[in-house]
Amino acid sequence: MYKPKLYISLMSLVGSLFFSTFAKPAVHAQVTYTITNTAKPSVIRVAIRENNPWGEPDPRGRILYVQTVPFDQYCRDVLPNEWIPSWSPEALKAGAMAVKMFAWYHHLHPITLDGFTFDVDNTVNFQTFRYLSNQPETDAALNAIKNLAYVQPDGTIIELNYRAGIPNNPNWQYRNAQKMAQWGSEYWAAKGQTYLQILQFYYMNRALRGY
Amino acid sequence: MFRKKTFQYQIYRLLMSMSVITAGTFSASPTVAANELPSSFHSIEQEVNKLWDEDTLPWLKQIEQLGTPNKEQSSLPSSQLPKQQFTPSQKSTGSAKLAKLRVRVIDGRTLSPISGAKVVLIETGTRTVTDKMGYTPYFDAPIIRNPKYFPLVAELHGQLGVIVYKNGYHDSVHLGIRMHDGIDAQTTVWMYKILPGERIEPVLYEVPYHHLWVLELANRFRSKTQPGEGPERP
Repeated sequence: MYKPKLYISLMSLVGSLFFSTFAKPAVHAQVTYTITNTAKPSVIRVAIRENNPWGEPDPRGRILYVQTVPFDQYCRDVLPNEWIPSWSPEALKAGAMAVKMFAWYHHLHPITLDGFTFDVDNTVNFQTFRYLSNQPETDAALNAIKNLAYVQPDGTIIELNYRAGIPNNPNWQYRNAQKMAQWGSEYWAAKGQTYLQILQFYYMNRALRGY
Repeated sequence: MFRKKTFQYQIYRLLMSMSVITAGTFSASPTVAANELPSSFHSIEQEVNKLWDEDTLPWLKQIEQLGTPNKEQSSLPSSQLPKQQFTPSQKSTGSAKLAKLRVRVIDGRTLSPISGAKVVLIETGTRTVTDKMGYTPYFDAPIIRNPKYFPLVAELHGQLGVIVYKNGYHDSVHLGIRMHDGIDAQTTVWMYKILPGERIEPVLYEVPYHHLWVLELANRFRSKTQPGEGPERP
């Protein structure tokens, strides 16, 4: 004898069992990387893109290989290619912090593209990197902010992004966008601002922490 | 003597000869006399002379002051050599036309330092030798900005070139070394051992322009009617 109610309830039981067991939507644990639960990276994976015809790494070129570079050396080889080494020391320190925290954040959030898994590439897609291109002035700036991080007040590691900006200009519009203007950092440093004041100007609601 | 060998001088001579030829053409014409040359020819000559005198001559004089070319400098480790200190005024004004440069030479395959490599600064002919850590001493090097860009967008750094020689290795030509006013600079040159059967050819590497300057250059000529990618936005 056909009993529709029993059949429906049986099917719903099977269905609920199936969905609860197999078709459960993936729930990823929301990991919050903070300065207290995350150590500074020892290395970083840099995707090396092919050069354009005049010998410069091409942001749209294909990835040739992934180079594993010590984290500190990566920062030393980025800073002179993003900031101008003859700029004021305080501008270089602000740049050093941005370069380090940008790399740190992306080390915690790697990507896979064209079969390569990496943290950053060597072009302006991320930060301009030239192997063994460090300079004395920029090395000194990175040493000055050693063991310091610029993070959210609760310690969360966030990306400190930046753009070129406009020369000889405070670049107020970048403050609203939570990005540091590279030219703006030099502008404020020339006005006598410290690197912390420069960072506070462009990145609001952040804090300097030791690690 | 040095002046006549430079590329800028050759351009200058070329422009001068062009103006002479063109002047001859106009003077032969029945309708245009030589003294009625278009003012643009005179302005080109004036501009070239101005650039030559104001921008090129100072660094040529500095090169001459650097001393006799081919004079080998001390091969003491750089740490034992006193670094030239720039006066505060030079640092603050950025008026220094000379800076210190040192070159590090490494094996391109093993990344180990190469000692005893001869390093020649192309622009001055200065020769020096690397120590056991692969470093040359700091030596005086001019900050030369390309005059063709100077009136438009001043380069953010000067550029120099070195050639490195070492027995058993391909010669390495390293161009575009960035030189900044008032601060020391260093660069790394890769050398590659000559393997059996390889052609004897130098290895060329050119340091790219700093991307902040490339941005400035692109913005300099951007028109309002067709701005291309437009100025950078935050």
